[in-house]
Amino acid sequence: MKTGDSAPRIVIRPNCNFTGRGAFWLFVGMTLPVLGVAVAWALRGYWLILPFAGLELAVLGIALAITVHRGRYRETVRFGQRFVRVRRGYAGRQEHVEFPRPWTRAWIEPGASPALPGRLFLGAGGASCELAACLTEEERQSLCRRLRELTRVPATAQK
Amino acid sequence: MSDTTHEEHHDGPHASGMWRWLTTTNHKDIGTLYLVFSLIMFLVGGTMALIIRTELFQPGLQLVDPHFFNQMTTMHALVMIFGALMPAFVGLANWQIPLMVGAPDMALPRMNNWSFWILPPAFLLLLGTLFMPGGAPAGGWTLYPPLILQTGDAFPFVVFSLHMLGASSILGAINIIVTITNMRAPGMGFMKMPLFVWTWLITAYLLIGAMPVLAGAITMLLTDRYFDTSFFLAAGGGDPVMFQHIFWFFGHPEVYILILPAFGIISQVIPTFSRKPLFGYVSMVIATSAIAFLSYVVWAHHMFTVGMPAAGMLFFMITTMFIAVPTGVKIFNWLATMWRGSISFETPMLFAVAFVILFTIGGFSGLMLALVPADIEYHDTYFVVAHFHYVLVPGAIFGVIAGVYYWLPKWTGHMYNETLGKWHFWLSTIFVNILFFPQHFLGLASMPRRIPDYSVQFTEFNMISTVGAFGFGLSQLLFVWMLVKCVKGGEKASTEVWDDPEGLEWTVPSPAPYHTFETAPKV
Repeated sequence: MKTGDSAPRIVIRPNCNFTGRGAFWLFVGMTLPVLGVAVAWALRGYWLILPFAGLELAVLGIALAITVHRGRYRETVRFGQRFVRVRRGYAGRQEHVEFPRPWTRAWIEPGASPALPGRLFLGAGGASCELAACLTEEERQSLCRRLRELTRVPATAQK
Repeated sequence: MSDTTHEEHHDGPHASGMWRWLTTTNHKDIGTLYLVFSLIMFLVGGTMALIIRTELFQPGLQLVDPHFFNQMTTMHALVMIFGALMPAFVGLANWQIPLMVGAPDMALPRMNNWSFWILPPAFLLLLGTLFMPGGAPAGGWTLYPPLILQTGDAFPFVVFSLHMLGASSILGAINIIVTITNMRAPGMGFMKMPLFVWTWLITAYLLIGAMPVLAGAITMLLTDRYFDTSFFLAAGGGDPVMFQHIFWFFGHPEVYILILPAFGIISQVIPTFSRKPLFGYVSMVIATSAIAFLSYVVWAHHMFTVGMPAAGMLFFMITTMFIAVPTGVKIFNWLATMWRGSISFETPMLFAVAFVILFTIGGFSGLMLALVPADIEYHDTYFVVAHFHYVLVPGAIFGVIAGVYYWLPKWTGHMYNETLGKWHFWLSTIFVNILFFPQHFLGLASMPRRIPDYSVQFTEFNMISTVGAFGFGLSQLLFVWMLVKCVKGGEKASTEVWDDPEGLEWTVPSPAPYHTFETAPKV
């Protein structure tokens, strides 16, 4: 989560150790020995190891791709003079929501049970969108406080 | 506009009863499923072991016919390896890895659910072969052709169940790799990861490397039997010895798949009860990696008697002996951790210390087996049986038990009964030695393995071994009873449980909440 007071903009992203390049090299690091072994056996005539190795690497590749993709999820909240603009989703596939700033509120709905995480919403006039599902509870609370400061909503106000 | 973008694993246990367990994507639920499944399989495999030992109580055939005896030896191994040990370690990984790296869950929760739920049908299929015409496979867990090709109607079911078990392992391994590499808490670099996480990361690599080889090998057996290929059939120009090479290329890394996570558990337990940091963390990581690497270049030490060039035997003998170096590093590091520590002997520590001593015995007998001239004498005798059981029972299984005692209060929120735990430890340790130590002498006296009848000179040691088997088996019922008792209630466990343990898992309350790390972990 990044915030800046001079240009009120908040970017929320999931905790993700991977970069696309890191995932690529991890995949290459797995592929070389696994395919190497399978090809070595195939060259001796025992080729049926090869399709299983390929299948396994395909699953690994998909798993890494999904993970990298999930890590690219972003939520950006911009605070203009009159509007709060929320942009969220993946690069190229982002949805936009806009709320009038004076009426915008942030609130946390508690989880269905004490063991479940709360859910942070930003909204105005009956419309709302959920934010920061990827954050921890402490970060969510802190973000909610910051959003309330920026939308100038008194801290006691709850939906 | 109202929207929800919560990931599926952010939902709580909204379902109840069986549906909850079928659909859960929560790592703690899935860890519990794995551990319960593993315990059931441990009891099933243990019952098979008791049938074997009862038949061997005295010479002659008294309880089962030889074919059923062979089915029992085969199924005992398959059930214990693929049903008890591997799922136990995956269960511990599921419970502990997200807690230890500060992640809210596994990286791919749905895949996690699938990788567990593949297991029960696979084992129904495998155990169901006992009731098929021709019975279960009886050619040994190594599935050597041409013997294994004589299996009755059960053969394709065995192959299919092994494929399912392999798929489950691969999915689990991929999930673990992605979780560890991608979801560590901010600040937790690789060299700050707990040893259990490190050993599992390396184990997952081994699984990914080894499993396609097994899958290919058993598929080639299937095509040899049903599709007129001759990969391993000498009559068609194939080579049955090549199956042994391929099998052990999978099989030896598999041995380390079964022991490396146990190393990780012991590396967590010993520092806690010695009240000292682990000695030589970096060397432990390097040693684990070295063992994993070497596991791929030692496979033919299982087959010195097949007829191999002297240079080949020498290579595999030397590489096998090299494994003693990183393993020795680990043993000495554990001893150095305990050295001048403020040691207390709670049940997990007792099992950990027994692990270090008894696994070392298994390691030394492994070194004896690595020597080509000696191995030609020991091959296929009870000495081999004693060796790998020392590695896998007081080694891997004691590792699992140590881990369960260590983390059980964190899982259940209750302390287990320490007195019962110590009884369990002492009974298990005494009986496991009564069970397996005499088998060294039987092997040195050349008693062959996998036989239901034997010469009378082997009677006494076999009787002692059988008494040990029943003692060990019954001791485990105490463990089951104590687990049930601890889950149901008992003294409340604190957050830290033990005296100042290291690790993020001890910063969350006991029992660990359904969703952990709602406050950001500090590393």
